[in-house]
Amino acid sequence: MIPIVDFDRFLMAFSLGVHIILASIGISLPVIVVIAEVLGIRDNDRHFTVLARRLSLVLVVLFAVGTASGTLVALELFLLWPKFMALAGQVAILPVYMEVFAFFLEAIFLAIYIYSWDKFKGRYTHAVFGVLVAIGAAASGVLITMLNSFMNTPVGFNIATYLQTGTLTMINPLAVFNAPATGIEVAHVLATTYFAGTFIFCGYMAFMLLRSSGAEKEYYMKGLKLTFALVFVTTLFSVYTGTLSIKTLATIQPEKYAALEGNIAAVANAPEIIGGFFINGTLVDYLSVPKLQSTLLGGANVVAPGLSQYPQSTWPPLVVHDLFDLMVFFGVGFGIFVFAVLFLSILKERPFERHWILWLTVVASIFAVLLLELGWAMAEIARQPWIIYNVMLVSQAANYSPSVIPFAVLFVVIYALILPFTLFVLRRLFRDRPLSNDLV
Amino acid sequence: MALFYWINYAVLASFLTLFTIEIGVALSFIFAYESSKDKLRRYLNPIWQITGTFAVFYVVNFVTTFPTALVFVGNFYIAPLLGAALFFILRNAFLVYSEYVNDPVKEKKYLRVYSFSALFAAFLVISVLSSGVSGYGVNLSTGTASVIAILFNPFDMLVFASVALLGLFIDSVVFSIEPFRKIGPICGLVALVLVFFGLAAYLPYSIQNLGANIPLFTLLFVLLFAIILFNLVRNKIARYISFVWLFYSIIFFGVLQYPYWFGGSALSSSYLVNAIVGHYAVLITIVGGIFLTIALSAFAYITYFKKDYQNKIQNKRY
Repeated sequence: MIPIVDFDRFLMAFSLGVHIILASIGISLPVIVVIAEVLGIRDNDRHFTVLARRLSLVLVVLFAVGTASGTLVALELFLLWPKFMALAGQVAILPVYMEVFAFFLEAIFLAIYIYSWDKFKGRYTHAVFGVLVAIGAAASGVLITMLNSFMNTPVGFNIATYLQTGTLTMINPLAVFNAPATGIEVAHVLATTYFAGTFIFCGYMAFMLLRSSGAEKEYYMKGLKLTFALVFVTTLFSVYTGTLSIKTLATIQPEKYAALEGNIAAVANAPEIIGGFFINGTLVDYLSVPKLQSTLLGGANVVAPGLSQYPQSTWPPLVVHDLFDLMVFFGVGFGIFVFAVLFLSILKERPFERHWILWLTVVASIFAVLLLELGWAMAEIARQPWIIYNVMLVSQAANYSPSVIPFAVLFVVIYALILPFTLFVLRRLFRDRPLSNDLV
Repeated sequence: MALFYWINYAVLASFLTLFTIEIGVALSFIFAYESSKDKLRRYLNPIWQITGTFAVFYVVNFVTTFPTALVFVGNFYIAPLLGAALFFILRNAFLVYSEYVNDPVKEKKYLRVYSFSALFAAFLVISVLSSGVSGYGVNLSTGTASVIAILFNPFDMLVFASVALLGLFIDSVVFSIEPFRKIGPICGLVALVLVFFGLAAYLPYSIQNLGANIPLFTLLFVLLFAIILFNLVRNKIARYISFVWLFYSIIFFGVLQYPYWFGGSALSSSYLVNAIVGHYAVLITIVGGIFLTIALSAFAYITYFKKDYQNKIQNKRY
């Protein structure tokens, strides 16, 4: 018999898994659209103008599904984890509340942007509304991530008193804006969200470039170059913030860090452990790079935290070590790929005229989305069994109503139908509006 | 502390105002598709996102204002609210599909799915809200709830019927949809009678509150007759008053309930957030509200009043 709390976990994870993809598109696409529109106006370039217009249609269709999935996540937060939200509501709710206004601005400016292409004398005025959509979307992402940072490093109340008496004292609702995890987590989430979102469209442009000819080829080439430039920048930021993030984790969530790195004992001169499997609490079949882990933490003598410093009942599932390694492996792969393409461009080797690079870009875009999902899954699993680190267990926060079981199934079915159907509608939309007509 | 309550209720009233109009839109799509489609699309196309955002606004504002109520709200209403979210996903998806499909037959089909999804979502949301007002289907002392009783009780039925009739009334005024133009005022009056009958029969304390608010009650009817009158002489002012009236009537409904929940067995003030979070929330509401008002004004001006500048051929293409 599967415990109800696991259905809660599944439904939340599934809804978030879907929403994360839609949110990353919703945050990145306005940036792509606005840059294309501005380039189109500045250079009087029809290709970029058409690109902006066509992608804005994608934006509005995906926004419709994305807002619905976001609403579902907002509801699930308090329906599935009522005790968690009862606590967060009294201590850490302000960023979430502010997020609603950012979301509002995004929705309102998107409505203006989509339905007012021809309403302004100055075309830059229209682009300004696109910038406001992009700001609203990014602000939403930043503010909602702050609640996650609170879950990782709770602040804003006296934790000792709460654990002893269940009473919230010394409440400071502003502390959540500057929790120990906030800065680096927000930076990394933003960078990786832009990375995955822009890579999706980079892959799409590469795929369409492979299938197009004539004037359409030029259109997709420009789209590919634009999105690849963004992918390059966001890859750099993702790697940089990721490195800082894991280093910060060693200080603010050492138990999580130890699980990710696969450290059982805390040691100085710690090696970097790559791969391996935990069998009865012992790691086997792994590679080890001497002293690298401690060196990355700041010096060979730095002590890397180990799981044995904490009670085994609070250890996260040890599979997170492999998830972490997989994520780093893919991250390094992406870094090599984007630098290789850049290098070929500098050598004037015209990388995007090579089919194998285009195919690689298409495949990479799929892996970029998987990487985003993997990163979130790893971060959330590694906080288990806590919903609020060292304060509240997932099992304490959960809703044990059996009603959740049929909905866990229903939402999978609904998304399994809605997501492909949305892609089908988008495909029809572009089939009914041939690119060749727009480019005339 | 009452300020926190009323901010939350005003957000709910804003959402319900827009959602009630959308219920009327959904009913019009079902019963008078050909005569209503074009007019309603022009309204719906830009504003559906904002209606949805007000739903999220209410949810988050409720979490912020009444955090300790979440434990029982989560337990009592998980099934109808997840159901509403499911239909909300379908509502969004099929509305936007219908907008971008270039096939009138498919458009009609998609709008049908949209309409039924919006109505089911509305039914579930209104059932939860009316159960929160009346206490039907939930037992506060044992912490248990019956989904069937929450969804199918006489008070809920009266409230949902009233909301549907109000939607038809307002839409008949705002969009002048022919089949509903004549029966619209009757729908409005019947809706009010049903609501007051429901309150008198099932929530006697709200009728006591009515006695203390006779001037507000009178204003409700004065505004209603003003709408009917202006609508009869086809004066556009009826449209604007009808929006205000709908918002006002929902607020008035809240005045009749205040400060009780669950048919008088709970005091809403017992679940209010602590003062410090509440004050920051009010501050954010004021600042955010100013931005929101500016943005909504720009939206209304650009979408509904500003004329196109660029060539119309290009406009048609998109």
